[in-house]
Parts: sequence; C-alpha cells; structure tokens
Amino acid sequence: MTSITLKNVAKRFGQVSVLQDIDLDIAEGEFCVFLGPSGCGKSTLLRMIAGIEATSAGELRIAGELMNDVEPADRRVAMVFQNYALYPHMSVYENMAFGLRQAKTPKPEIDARVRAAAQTLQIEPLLDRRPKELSGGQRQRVAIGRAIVRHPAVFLFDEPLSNLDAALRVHMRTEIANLHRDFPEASMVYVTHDQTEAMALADKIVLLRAGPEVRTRGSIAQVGAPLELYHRPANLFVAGFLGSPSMNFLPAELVGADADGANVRLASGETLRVAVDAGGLATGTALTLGLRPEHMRLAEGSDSQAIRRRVRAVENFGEYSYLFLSESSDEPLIAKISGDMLDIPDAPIALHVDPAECHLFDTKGDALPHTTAAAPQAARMD
Amino acid sequence: MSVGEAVTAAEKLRRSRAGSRRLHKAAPTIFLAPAILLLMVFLLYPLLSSFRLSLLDWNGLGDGARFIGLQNWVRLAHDTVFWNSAWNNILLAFFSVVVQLPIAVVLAVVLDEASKGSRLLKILYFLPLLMSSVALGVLFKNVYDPNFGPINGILGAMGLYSWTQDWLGDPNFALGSVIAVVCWQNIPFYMVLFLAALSSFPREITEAARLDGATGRTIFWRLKLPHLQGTFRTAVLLAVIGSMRYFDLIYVMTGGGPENASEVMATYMYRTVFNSFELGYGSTVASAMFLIIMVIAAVSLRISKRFETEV
Amino acid sequence: MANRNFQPARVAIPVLGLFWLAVTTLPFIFVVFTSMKTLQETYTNPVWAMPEQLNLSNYIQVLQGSFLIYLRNSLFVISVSVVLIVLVSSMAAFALARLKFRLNGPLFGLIVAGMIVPLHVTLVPVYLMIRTAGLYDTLFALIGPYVATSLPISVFILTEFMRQVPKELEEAARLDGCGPFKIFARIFFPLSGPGIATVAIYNGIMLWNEFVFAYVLTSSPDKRTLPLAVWDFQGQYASDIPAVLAVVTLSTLPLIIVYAIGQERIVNGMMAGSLKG
Repeated sequence: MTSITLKNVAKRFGQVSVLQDIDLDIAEGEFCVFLGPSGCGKSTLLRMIAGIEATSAGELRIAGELMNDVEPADRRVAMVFQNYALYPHMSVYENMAFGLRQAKTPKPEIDARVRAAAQTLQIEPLLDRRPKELSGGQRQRVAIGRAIVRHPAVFLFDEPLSNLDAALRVHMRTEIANLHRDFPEASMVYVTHDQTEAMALADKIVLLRAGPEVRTRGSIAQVGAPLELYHRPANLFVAGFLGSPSMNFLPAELVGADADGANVRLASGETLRVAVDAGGLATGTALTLGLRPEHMRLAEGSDSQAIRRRVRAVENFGEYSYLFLSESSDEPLIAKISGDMLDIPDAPIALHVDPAECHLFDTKGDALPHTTAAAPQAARMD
Repeated sequence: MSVGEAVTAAEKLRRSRAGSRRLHKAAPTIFLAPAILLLMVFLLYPLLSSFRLSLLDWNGLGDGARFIGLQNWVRLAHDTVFWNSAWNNILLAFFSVVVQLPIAVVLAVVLDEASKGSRLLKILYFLPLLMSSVALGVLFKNVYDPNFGPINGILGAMGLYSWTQDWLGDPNFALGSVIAVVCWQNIPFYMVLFLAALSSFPREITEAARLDGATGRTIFWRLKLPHLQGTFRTAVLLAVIGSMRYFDLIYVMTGGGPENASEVMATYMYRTVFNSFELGYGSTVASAMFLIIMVIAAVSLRISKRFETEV
Repeated sequence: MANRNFQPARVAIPVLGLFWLAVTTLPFIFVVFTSMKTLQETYTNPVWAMPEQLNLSNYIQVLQGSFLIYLRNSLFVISVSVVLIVLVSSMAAFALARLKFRLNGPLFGLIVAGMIVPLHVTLVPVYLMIRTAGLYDTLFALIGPYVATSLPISVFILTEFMRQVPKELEEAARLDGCGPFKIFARIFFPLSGPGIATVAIYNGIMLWNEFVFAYVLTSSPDKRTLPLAVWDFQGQYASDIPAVLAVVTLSTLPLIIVYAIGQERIVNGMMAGSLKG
C-alpha cells in the first residue's frame, strides 16, 4: 500500500523556485532517502511532508488522504531534527511525553509508551535528565524516542546524524536501520547529503538536483534502489554525484555499434568497447564516456581494451591508492587501484576498462541504456 | 504496532481545519493587542494630545480652556527662558560627552588591567547607578550646602575660604554644580559599557601583537582604543539624547533656579504647568521639547551612521 | 624597553582606581555618617568627623513615621507593574520575533522608536487622563504609565532574545500539536527566562527609582512610593539633616541589599538599556 504520494508538488519562496515537478510514491514500510547536494531542496521537501512548510502547488497525500492543509500534528508523522530540537527546559521524559499530552492521551498510556520507547533505545536511566546533561548520541536517542512514542505512520529524519562524530555516526546508522525493522509498517523518509548513509540505509533513493540551472534545480534526477543508481545512473548528474571519487567523464565519439555494444574513440585516439546500446545513433556522434575510478585496474601486456596515460601524482592509503593521470583537459583522470603504488612522476601506465562498467551519455546528459551483456551481478553469500 | 489512532483521521482533519485555523490567523493580533493598546493610551495619545493642548490657554482646572491658535508658539519663540534652558540642555549634553566618556574609558581600562580586586571595584563603582535621582539630589544638596556641607567645610579647613561658594544658590555655579553630579551618577554606566567592549577584545589579537613586538602602550592606543569606536558612538548617542530629556536630579537639587540658571527644558515645562498653572503654554514647551529631541536624535543618528561608513 | 614603557601604567592604574573609589564612596560615607549624628553634632563638629556614637535614633524616628507605608506602596506598584511588563512585552515580542504577518517589521520599528520619546512630554496629558479616570492619587494611577513606558525597551530586549531560539524547537512543538498560543506558553515563555530576568531587573530598578510620574500622579503620603519618601521627608524635616539623610540611606538600602546578592545579573540587566546601539 502506498503511504506517501506526491503529485506535481512544487515549492516557491517568493519568486525563487526551490522544488519543481516532484512526483513520488513511497510505499508503506519503505525506507526512502532524499539525497542531494546542499541547496537541492531535500530538507524543504521533507518539511513539506511534515507540514511545517506549506506546499506551493501539487497534491500531498498520506495514506490516501489529501494533507496539503492539515496541521503537522494531525498528519501522523513524527520528525527527528538535525539539531535534535529537544525542549531544553523539559526532562527527557517530558520531552517524549509532550506531544502525547497535547493529544490528550490518557496518563497511564503516555507512561507506558514513554517507558517502552526508553527501553527500546536504552535511555531509561536518563529519563529525569535535562537535554543539556546528555551527550550528542544520547540526545539523538531522545529525539528518536520522541518520534517513536507517537506511533506515527511516517518517520521523518532531517540529517539526523550530521552532528555526531564519525564513529558514533556509524553506530547510530545501524540503530536507525534496526528501528526500521522494529516498525515494519511505518515508512521512513530520511534526508542526507551523505551518500554512504543513503546507500547503507535506503530501500529507495530520491536524488535531487541542485546547481545553477533554474530549469532543473530542485527536481528529481533519479529514483531507484541504491545499487540501481550506482550501476545505472540515468544521467550525468546522478553519475557524477554518486561514488567517491566521482566518475571520470571523457569526451568520446561513436565509431560503431552492434547488438552487444558500441565502440567509441577517445580524444586521445584510443578506441574502447562499451556494453551500451547505441544502435539508434549515427557514427561520429559526440558522447561522454563515464568511467568510475574503482572500475579501472592495471592492464596486462598489450591489452586493447585499455587507456594509456602518464602518472601525475599518487596518493597511497594502504588499502588502496589514487592515481592522478594526465589528461588533455585540466581535470585529471582518477583511478582507484587496490594496494600500494610507487609514485614515479611521468611514468607511463595502462589501465584496463571493463566494457560492462562503462557508461555513455548523450549531449543532453542522459545515459544510453546498457545491453543485456552488462547486467551487474551481486555476490551471493551461500 | 498499529498505524491508526483512536480518533479517525477524517475527524482529526475536520477539527484541525476549522476553528483552530481561524484562531491561528488571529494570533499576531491577540499577542500584540495589549502592548499596542497600552502604548496608544499612554504614549501615542499623550504625545498628540500635548500638541492639541499647546493651542489652548488653560489653567488646567474646570472648563476655562480657550482656543488661542498658535499664540503659545509665538510666545515660545520669544521666550528667552525657554531658549536659555534649551541651551543648558545642550551644555549638559556637551559636558556629558566631554567629561563622562573619557573618564569612563579610563576607568574601564583600569578595571580591565587591574585583574586583582577588579570585581570588587566594579561593584563599588556601580553603586551610584542604583540610587534614585531624588535620593542623589538630596544627598548632593547636602554635600553642596554652603554652611554644613563637606565641600565648603573641607575648603575652609584648608584655609581656602575664598574658594567656598554657595554652590547651588549662586547663578554662576548652579549649572556647573548640577552637571558635576550628573556626571558622577552616569560615569559608571558608560564605564561598564566600555568594559564590556574591552573584555570582548580578542585575546589572540593581543598575543599576535606581542609576537610582532608591540608594547603594551601600542596595543592600547593602536588596537584596543580603535576597537572601542563602535561603543563610543553608542555612548555619545545615549549621552546626548539622555541629556536633552534630563529632569529628576536638577529638579530636586535646584528646581531650575536660581534665576533659571540651571533650568533645562523639562524643569521649565514642569514648573510652567504645575507651579504657574499654565497648562496650555506648558504643553507648548513639552511639544517643542519633543520636536527638538526628535531632531537632535535624528541628526546624531545620521552623523553616527556617517562615521560608521567612513571608518 | 617594553618594561620602561609599562612603568607609568603600572603606577597610574592603581592610583586612578583608588582615586575613583574615593570619589564614588565618599558621598555614601558622608550620608551614612551624618545620618547617625545628632542634629547638635552637625552644628558643632566638622562635617568629616565620625559620629560620636552609634546613634540610630534618626532611623527609628523615620521608621516610626510613614516610611514603611512608602516602602509597601513601592513594593506593590513595582511588583504589579513588573509582572504586567513581563507578560505584555513577552507576548508582543513573541509575535514580532516568530509570527509572520504583514506589518511585522514596521510595527517593531515603531514600538522600539518609543524608547526615544521623552516621558515628560506625556506628563500633562497622562495627568489629565488619570484625573478624568478618577485614579488620581491612587497606586493604580502609576501602573498604566509605568507599564506602557517600560514596554519599548522590554519588547526590544525580548524580541532580540526570542529570535535566538532555534526555529526547530518551534517546528517540533507544531509537530507535537501546539498552536501559536501553546508554543508561546509552553516553549518560548519558559525558554526566555534569562531575557525575562533582564527585563524584570532593568525595569524593576528603573521604576523603583521613578520620580516624576509618582510626583505628579499622587499627592497623599499613604499613596506615594519610595522616591517620594525622600522628597516628602526633605520638606517635612527641612533642616534636620541627619533625619533626611537617614531616609536617603533607608530608601537606597533595599536595592543595595538586592545588588549584594546578585551583582552580575543586575549590572547586566542595567546595561540592557545600551543594547539599542
């Protein structure tokens, strides 16, 4: 069943359009992450679902009911804020009970719910403390507890982990995943700019565009499962945003196509085979070749499916190394190679490229479809 | 755990849409109404009413009020006592700025430097601000008393009989004596103001300057004093505007006398209304005072803004 | 080199500090000493002489007069006024700081501009108004003008304060089912404690010492406030300087006691007036 439906939703602040053409379905029990660079409107979209921000246009439905004009408290949503937004003058217990008291929930019921939530989150000993006596992680738990006690249909998270230090962030991330398991019927909508968080948590990622172009700013770039976005980016924006370091983009020219793939020639003169269906395009069409740094490896012998460059710089991290390779443009080509590399300036190097892991984009920036030969395979644990 | 609550969603929807929405719309009005009402009754209306009263010839009792147009204003234009008192206000403003602020800066520096005991000093220095102007006025009336006051007493004991004066009773000394007390009372205020600004001076800058070989004196003159500039502007504004409306202390000490020597606009206005029972003309004085203060406030704000952009 | 430059400052600073200490405290010492002298002593002994004995008869004389009535009146008028000031100004400040409506900006400017208005201009019309309302020479005559004239600075201080509260708290409260009224009562009012303390202290001290309204709007001793006690006693005892100075001491004493308890708070509260820079 669908939990949240957005139809043609838009948001304007005065003359400035921050969100446009948002069409989205979030299923009951689904963990949906709004991802995007700062300024893409992802928090605004979340706040519109919460009812804190008004919707400028379009329809917003929760559990089938039109919610555009419904007060936040009556939308059966609960929200966890980035800075926790705990009431500083109330105890942990009162913070969690406050919303229920406003809803005139009977006292025993409030007590039962608060204590149950405290137990789930292991914050029972803290119930009498004030927020300022708590650590960041504890405040985060209280903020989540305040959401849990309301038994909401939708949990909304606005960058909930960004104020925590790195170690705690990983820990809380698994707790949020557990929370999702404990409330299977509730939908989760989670805003973050951190793609690792998005990849780790999401059933579905909604990637929003930012950038100077008014026409597309604040619109959905792609919706899909995390690995779908990673392996099958629909356009240059998604391809460039997901993955770190970013995908390399090389200008290329189509020299031939058949049912299994296409051949493209790079500016450097090399011709590469890619498992992309370019059947409809004429030879000589200008394209962009996308190559993820982690999808290149050292070539052996006279590999024809390889690109040859000189090394500009090397960064060794122990587990893997970044090679910065000279390219005709100013942007260096980056390759991520496992193991250590010797840093020899100007050393020539050849890197093998797997046809299945190449991406082609047309001049509008849209990805050409991959051929069946390129279906990604996940390793199985059996 | 169920998603649905006891109250159906549809019912909640209806409830949240109708009544509370209208009430929320009215919230700004409801929150602001008491304040606006009070300000209209006790500030705005009296202000306007003062101008209306300035057109009357009225002793304030009964219905003997007579509309006389601008006659009061014409009289005011030729009233040397009024212009003299306005001039006294300006003198007061001038000396407030010239005397109070430099002393306050020096004291703030003293407190800022003297780490030991500066807390106690600050507490004691602040005392004059806590006293009511009436108590202060009565106090200094006794200090200045020509026969029993300590000033003449000490001068006499030092053999300086020729220096003893009737400080408040002599038209040549009254205004000066009063201004001295005004300064004494207000210096602590500006001192704390400057002290706050000084203590907000970033320690890293002092340290960086010391590494650059700057001496304590250089740091003070070249770094800390310029840092006080903004506070200084605020202080000048406060001192000038405050001086234009000064009343309590002067009224208590001299009542504006002798022979209007220490008269300021507010004491003159008060005496015209409540001693001479010229309510109409008193209101003219009050209205003129209001206009003068507004002009001076506007001009000094403008000047202070200009300084801000220049520096 | 550096040391030689430091020398004058090292000497000058303590000297200046002590000098001003004398300037500040000598008048107070004069008042306290003189208030303990007999009238006879003030005629015969030099002014700087210590009192011959610890003589509290002047204080007893004053306290047996109507001093305590003035004190009670002051306490009543100040507490009622401060409570009203805090309530009215925090409500207005909340609307100005957090609610969206068309006239928000101009209204804030207009209210704050009220700080420059010289109160003496309003004196005559307020006096007439209070007479017409039949409140002349009652304690209630003072409350209206006191509250109204304190509002501009109080609204200013509290608006600035409430603007600092993170907007997420307000949003969290909306999600918890609070409308603007509950958000004010349950979140913003309790959270503005320090700002409210500043407003209460600043206005409390200002009104405790207020003279001109009290002077004009009341006339009988049992309806007058403490600053008028000094004024009235001065008229009453005229040449009995020790008695008059005993009243001065007594009327200042409550504030000094309060000040001794919470100096930092009071200094900061009093400086609130300079915020308008």
